[in-house]
Amino acid sequence: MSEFNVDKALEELSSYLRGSQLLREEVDRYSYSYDSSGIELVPDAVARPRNVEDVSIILEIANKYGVPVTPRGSGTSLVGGPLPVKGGIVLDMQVMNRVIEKDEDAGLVRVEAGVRVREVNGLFKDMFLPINPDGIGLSTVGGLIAENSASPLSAKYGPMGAHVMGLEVVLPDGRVVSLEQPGPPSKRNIMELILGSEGVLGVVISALLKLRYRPESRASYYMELNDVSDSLIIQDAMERAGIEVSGFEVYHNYKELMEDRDFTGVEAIGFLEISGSSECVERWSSRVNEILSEMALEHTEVEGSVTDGVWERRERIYNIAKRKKISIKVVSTLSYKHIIRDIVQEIDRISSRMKIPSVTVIDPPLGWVTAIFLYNSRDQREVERTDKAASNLIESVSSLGASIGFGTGVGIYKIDESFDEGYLSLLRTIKQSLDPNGIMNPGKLV
Amino acid sequence: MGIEFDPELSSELSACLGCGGCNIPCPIFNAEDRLESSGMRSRVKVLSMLSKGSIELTESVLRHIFTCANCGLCNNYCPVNLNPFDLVMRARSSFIDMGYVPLVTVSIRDSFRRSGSPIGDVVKGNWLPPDFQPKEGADVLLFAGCWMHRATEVALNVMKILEKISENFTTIGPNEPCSGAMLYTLGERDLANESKEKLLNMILDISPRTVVSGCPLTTRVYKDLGFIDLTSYMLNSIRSGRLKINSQKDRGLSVLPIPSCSDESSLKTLLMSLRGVKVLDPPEWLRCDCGFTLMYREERERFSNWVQRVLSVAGALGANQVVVEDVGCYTMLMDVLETKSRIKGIKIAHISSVILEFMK
Ligand SMILES: Cc1cc2nc3c(=O)[nH]c(=O)nc-3n(C[C@H](O)[C@H](O)[C@H](O)COP(=O)(O)OP(=O)(O)OC[C@H]3O[C@@H](n4cnc5c(N)ncnc54)[C@H](O)[C@@H]3O)c2cc1C
Repeated sequence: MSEFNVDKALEELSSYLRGSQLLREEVDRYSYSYDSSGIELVPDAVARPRNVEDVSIILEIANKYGVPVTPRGSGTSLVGGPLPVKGGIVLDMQVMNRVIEKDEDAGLVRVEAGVRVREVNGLFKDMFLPINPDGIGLSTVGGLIAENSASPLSAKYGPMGAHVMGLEVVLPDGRVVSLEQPGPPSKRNIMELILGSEGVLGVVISALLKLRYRPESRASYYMELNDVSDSLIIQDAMERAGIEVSGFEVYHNYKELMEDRDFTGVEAIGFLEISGSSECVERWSSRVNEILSEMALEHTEVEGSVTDGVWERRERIYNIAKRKKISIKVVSTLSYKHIIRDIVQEIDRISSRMKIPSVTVIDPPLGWVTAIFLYNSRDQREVERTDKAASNLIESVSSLGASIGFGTGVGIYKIDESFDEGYLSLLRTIKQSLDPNGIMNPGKLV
Repeated sequence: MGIEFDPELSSELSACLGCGGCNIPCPIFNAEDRLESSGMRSRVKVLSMLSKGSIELTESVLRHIFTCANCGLCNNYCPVNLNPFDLVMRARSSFIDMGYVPLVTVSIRDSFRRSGSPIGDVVKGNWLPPDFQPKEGADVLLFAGCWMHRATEVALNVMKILEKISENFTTIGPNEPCSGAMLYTLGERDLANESKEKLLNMILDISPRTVVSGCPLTTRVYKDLGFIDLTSYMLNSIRSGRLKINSQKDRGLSVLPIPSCSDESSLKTLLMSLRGVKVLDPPEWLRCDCGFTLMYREERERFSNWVQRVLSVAGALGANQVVVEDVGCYTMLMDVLETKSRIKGIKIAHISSVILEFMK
């Protein structure tokens, strides 16, 4: 039994919202019980706001009755972010998918939270949003902001936050705040608080985004590494040579990915991309070849459509998941160069101890390491071992000094005291003062 | 205890990433403001929950699994190539085999049994002369499909066009059976196969070189039959010079095409081959064919919402005409609009009437 009265809240809400905006049928509730994490949690109801006023009144009434509200974008979260841990209302932001204004000269667009990456990328011919975490552009702007998402090109362009110039947010008590740059620096600070707050502090209504020019020229390389550490040496050499890496991802335990090839002695495969003006790319290109050859690495330059393979690279992982009829569980970590090797080894150790195979994706420029555990969701024992593997990994990488949840968020895995007591208590204080009744996405992050 | 699908189907269901790619082209998901429960991801996920036993099978869950636009567009959008529509069709047929027939499909089954057509009672071939007999050995055979038998005006247009293209042309007439494609998508494989066999035998008797299908769902679901869509046939005929098109007229048409749900729809190309027609780009979800029949018959309000959304897209894009490829879609749409005149300045037409206007 829930300790809040959802019926009363919905009854009151029904005088403000239309019938199709409040859903309680079982099929609707089941349809908002999943995301891309493999976890399922069924809400009591689904609300579908059309504008800021709707969101505001939903939060105000939910707050009055202590009913949890969990914002949801496209539901591509890998960590159960939009799932209602404590029940209550799932707030489906997808109806709010308007482009409010755009200015091509300034490269600025103001969009509602439910607009998807693929839609933003269709607005200007020469400009794009470099963050595309799921690879197919389905994630919403609200979801990207809530997770402060990152994707391979974040090496050059930074995570989502780097593109956000303004935010309109509804706080848990229904108040609407508008935060925009340029403005006093303190406004930016509050904006930073919302970025990556995983929907626990408020609901993002709209955002002002600065888009980037598509690069004039790009070149990318495929390489085979004898040791994961080689990727760190390569990254270092690139930085030393002043080469701007736009994306660099290394896959360890890749053998799972390419069964048809002999990889004796190869520990990882990598994809590296540089971009910029044609002259620049041409000059850098020969230097990249030199660096890779000096390290005696097998490598090839790939171009054209292959260069577009940010998604393709990831797709390999998803394809083996499909081929082997298995599910995936993701733990994302962020750290410094010197402990990346340790994290990778830790993932391998946990993987073999729990007998759950994994693929590890390393992003050397960012210090981003993602463990992807591959398991059979129909086998309860495997499910339990996978959960154990994930929580063991979170514990041990935290003690190594890495943070978890970069890009993907931590969602239902939460952060605990062992991670960082001081930080956590500060976060809880902020949460408590903005959301004293704890209605915003409870059971996540803090 | 979960629903026992065959192990292959169960494990494919559990391999769904849950990314939602299948929702991108979903006509109903888009027309209903991206309502998750209207999209394909929800169907695959709900099936996977049923198979794991985390939810119970109820009539409304069953209805959910069976009620979609049956467009199959989602098959092209799955990053791990699960073919979500095919998965759902397989699940539907497992339900039927297990004896779980959803109430929502009962009237379609009944009318199919009663009159051999899933679209309701229909008198077939009433656009043909009373003494009509199919011409054995004809070069070209028109398989009209159930909806064309109802849309007499479209049938007459199509006859005129096909007669122009081929002198040696025929159709099956009043005894034409349904191909069963609609029933096939609803998991009724036995009923569907029976009807398909009947049709194939009739075609065999006539032995045409080419079968032109007025029902795009048939060519889409039964690719192996080698039928050619009416639209592609008209396009090929224009290209080969067998169908002459008037190139003088510029009517200032700004056309929003509604292609059928087939990957190979040539509606856009066909329209672009007409001089003076500005062809607008429909959003990826704006497709429709006979697969919408269940929605039209059993969930009229949702179908009407889809129609309204189509009109608002047409208005927003500045179209003065909407041209529909599939005769079933055209008929259902017109029926909902209840008027054949212009709606808010936008004329709705079936492709056959457009071609007829342009024919020399
Ligand atoms: C195949 C695949 C690969 C992926 N790879 C990556 C990756 O490399 N990097 C990465 O960062 N992510 C990755 N993800 C995860 C996911 O794409 C991102 O987390 C994305 O930002 C989620 O967007 P969404 O719209 O789907 O949000 P949802 O999944 O619906 O929600 C995510 C979180 O945002 C909150 N939220 C959503 N909308 C709002 C709003 N308007 N206001 C406040 N809070 C809101 C939710 O409460 C939830 O906590 C991947 C996902 C998939 C399926």
